[in-house]
Amino acid sequence: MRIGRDRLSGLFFLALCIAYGVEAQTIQVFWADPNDPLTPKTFPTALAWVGGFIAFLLVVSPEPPEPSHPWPQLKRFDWLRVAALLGFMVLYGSALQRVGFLVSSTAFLVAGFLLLGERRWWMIAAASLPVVAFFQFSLHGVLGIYIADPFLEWLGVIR
Amino acid sequence: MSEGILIGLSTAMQPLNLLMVFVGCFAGTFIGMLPGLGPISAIALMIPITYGFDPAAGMILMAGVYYGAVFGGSTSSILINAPGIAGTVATAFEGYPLAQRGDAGKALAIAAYASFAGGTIGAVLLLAAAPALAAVALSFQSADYFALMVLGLTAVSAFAARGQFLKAMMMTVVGLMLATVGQDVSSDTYRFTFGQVDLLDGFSFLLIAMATFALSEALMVVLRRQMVAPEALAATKGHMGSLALSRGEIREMVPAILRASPFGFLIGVLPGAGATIASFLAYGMERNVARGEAKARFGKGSVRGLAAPETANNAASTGSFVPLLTLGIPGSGTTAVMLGALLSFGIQPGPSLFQDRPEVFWSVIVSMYLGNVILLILNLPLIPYIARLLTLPRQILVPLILFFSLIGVYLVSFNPFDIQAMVAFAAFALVFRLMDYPMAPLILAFVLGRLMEENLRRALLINDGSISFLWERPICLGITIVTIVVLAVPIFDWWRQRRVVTAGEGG
Amino acid sequence: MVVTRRLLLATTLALGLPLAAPQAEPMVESIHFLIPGGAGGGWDGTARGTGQALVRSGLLGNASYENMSGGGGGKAIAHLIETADRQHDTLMVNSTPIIIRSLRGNFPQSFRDLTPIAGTIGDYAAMVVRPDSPFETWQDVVAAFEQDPRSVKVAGGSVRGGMDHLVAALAFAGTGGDPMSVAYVPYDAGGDARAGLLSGETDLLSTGLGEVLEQHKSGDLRVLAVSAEERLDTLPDVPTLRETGSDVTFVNWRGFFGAPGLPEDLADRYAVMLEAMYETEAWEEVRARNGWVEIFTPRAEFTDFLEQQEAEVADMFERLGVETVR
Repeated sequence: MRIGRDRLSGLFFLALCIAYGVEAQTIQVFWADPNDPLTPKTFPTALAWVGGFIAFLLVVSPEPPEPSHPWPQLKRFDWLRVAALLGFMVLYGSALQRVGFLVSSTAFLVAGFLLLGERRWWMIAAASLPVVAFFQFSLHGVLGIYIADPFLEWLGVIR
Repeated sequence: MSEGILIGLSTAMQPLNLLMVFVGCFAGTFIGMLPGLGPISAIALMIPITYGFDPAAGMILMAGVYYGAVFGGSTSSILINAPGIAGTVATAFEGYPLAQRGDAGKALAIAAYASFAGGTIGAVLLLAAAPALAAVALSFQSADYFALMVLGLTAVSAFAARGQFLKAMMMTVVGLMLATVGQDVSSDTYRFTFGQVDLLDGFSFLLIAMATFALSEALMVVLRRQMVAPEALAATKGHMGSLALSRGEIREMVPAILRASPFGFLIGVLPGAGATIASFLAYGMERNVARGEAKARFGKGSVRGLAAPETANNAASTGSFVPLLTLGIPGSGTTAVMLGALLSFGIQPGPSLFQDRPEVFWSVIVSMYLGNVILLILNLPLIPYIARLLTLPRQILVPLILFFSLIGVYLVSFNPFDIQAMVAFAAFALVFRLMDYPMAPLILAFVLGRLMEENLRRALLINDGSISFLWERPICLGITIVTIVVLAVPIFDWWRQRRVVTAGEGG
Repeated sequence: MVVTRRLLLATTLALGLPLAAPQAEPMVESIHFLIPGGAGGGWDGTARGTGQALVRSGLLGNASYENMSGGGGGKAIAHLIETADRQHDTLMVNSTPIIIRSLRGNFPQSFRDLTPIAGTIGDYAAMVVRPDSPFETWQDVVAAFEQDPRSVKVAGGSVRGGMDHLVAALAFAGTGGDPMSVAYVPYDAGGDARAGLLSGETDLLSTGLGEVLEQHKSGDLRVLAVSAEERLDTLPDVPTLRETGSDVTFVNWRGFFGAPGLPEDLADRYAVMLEAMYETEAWEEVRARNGWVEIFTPRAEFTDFLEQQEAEVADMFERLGVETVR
């Protein structure tokens, strides 16, 4: 039996459904209407069974002979840059409220541009800070939507 | 009644009010294009600004803002696969492939025409039958909504490419699972929150849609070392912004619009459904009625597949004014904010509004229609310039898309946790898209799952635990039969094809 | 023109320039309103409406608004407590659910962890039926309930154990019914619950009076009873629950809280400012268009009120057999 993409993903979903089903059993039903035939557990439990069944079918059904994007191509994929971008996004999320919108957004954009190969400094400058600043001004200034920004607060620009 | 329409027209046609429509459409389009801000925020933001306006002028401004915001949302759906609002997710299914093919201008034009047509037909239906339609809005009970959601879920089968049925089903289940995270309304129990405050409210629809569509698409471009829309850049720099539709495309678009308008409108009339569900159902329906070559084009930039949901969401937005204006019941988040706006002008919508203050009632409807017209006039000339956005080099465009998608979700909740969650969902979507798993069923199931469970449990509670409503209620029975037919046809097709294939292999 | 003035204001704010004061010295320089829910909700409307009235009347120099949804309000409370020392000019809007949710343990904090400033507006609960309903009076409903509790399906816009359910249970329990057997049908929001009542799938609607007042007046819905202490001026023909033999009063308040450890003099000044607001025209305009009922309860009075409501709600939860935290 060849373990191809379909089987592999089927196994993953089988595990996911089992985990989901187990976790569903821990849902507390401490205060259901005595006449309510369904509890908060019913639907998740049913889902876990159905999902598990589909995942099982995925595992046992024959692997298609020729996937539309063959495996070897994966090696030519740019995994490194994608991983870096994902990392930048995580960092951006953690910095957003600690550092502030303006600085972290600008840094995120500049890092992204550089990572993807942009080297023209004027392009990097034009597409980062002005975009973020215009955006923040439209929201915060014109529309009155508050965006927490400790850096600008420290500068005294906003409250 | 015709008198009422005349009053409405004369009010809406005053120069100041026309200016309001214009300003509203412009502001609405701008706000709608900003990530994270859809019609709800746009209208909420306008309430303090319209303070002190005369009610008609204020409502006209709101109507312009509303339609502008909806239109602005479909723009980002088409251009960068980032649905700004829930109602335009289905627009991305065909709109984005069209834009990638180099027909961004055409796709935006189709969206504009379809929105306009949907809004127009919706407004006509509203003019003709608003008071009578109130009865329709009220005839739907939880049991019927449950049946409707199940029907909506069958649209999943439409997304299954040949031989990928199991994968579409798997994604449906995952979508339903994601929908169960958070507070359970029927019992005040928290499910799958693992003690995390950030999970108590569950995941927002926009978060899932942005992560699995916009983020994963932008990352996919990097992963495959593609240029953004390579064909678009290489071959079609000239007609990127061209709005011209061929005769064949018009012939394809018109029937789809005619089908989707009344359909979307009716779904919009139901207080428990709304524009998002209408657009998904219209897309699924269009895909189901398509045959042969037309069906094969779905997923690759089908004109009718784009026109149908875009028509339906506008028709439904118009339809949702029926319960709002005639019964005072807001059927969606947007109409709830609209209700707030109406109340702030001292207008209490309800059956008596139609009798006591017909001029307000009709001027709202007429101005909504005017908003549609102005929007078309305003936006068509802008489309070529908006479409040029795609010709930005990818090393600039990709980080900007990531930034706008993340911020779009963050600005709704102001919770950085959402950004981390989006990264996780985007990574998930990226990996499983490489394995040919479709993401649309996940989104669809996520939208419908919660409503389906809630309505089923409510129906059972009301019927003391019996499911007899499935055959005792005519509406419910009708929808159930349609569901069975919709399900049976592709299964039959599949079975027939499979038999042919097996026979071929055997021989 | 309002838009341009707003733009101007925004520009000056963004550039950090001092604004020329429109009126005499405001009572309070600036307030940052923290809204535990999204734009367009009830909390949002209360905070923005109040802020608008305060600024317009010149009592307040300027107001900013921050929406922070999550955890049914728990996120904003936690945030206010965590960053208390730099939140001296912050007021958080909240309402009755803070009591219910902290009793149920939905979030670990309660109003005791904050500095109560004042309750400002309130809404009574209403028991509502369709115009063609066989129930003419609240007593009719109670009679039907006593015969068969399942025959009265009660719709509400909050979760099971939420405010609408709780009030209905209180009302039935008040006449000696078993609150456990109330057939409560939860909906996503008040509007949906109203649609449910009108579609005929439920028999009674438990909701806020403000949501149904106009419909009652126009005859599109019928309010059978309200949870006020005495008959209301706006609804002289509708009895209170108390009159009908069910000794229940309930008010859904909305009010403002400061960060924990807020200096007393500041907290008092905020309360005085809110009190002064009631006399202004700007407030009257905001109040009238939202149909709000004034229930000003400042500082210590507010704390007493909250403690009393908490005790009532806790008692009800006990009778419903629900675990509570306190």
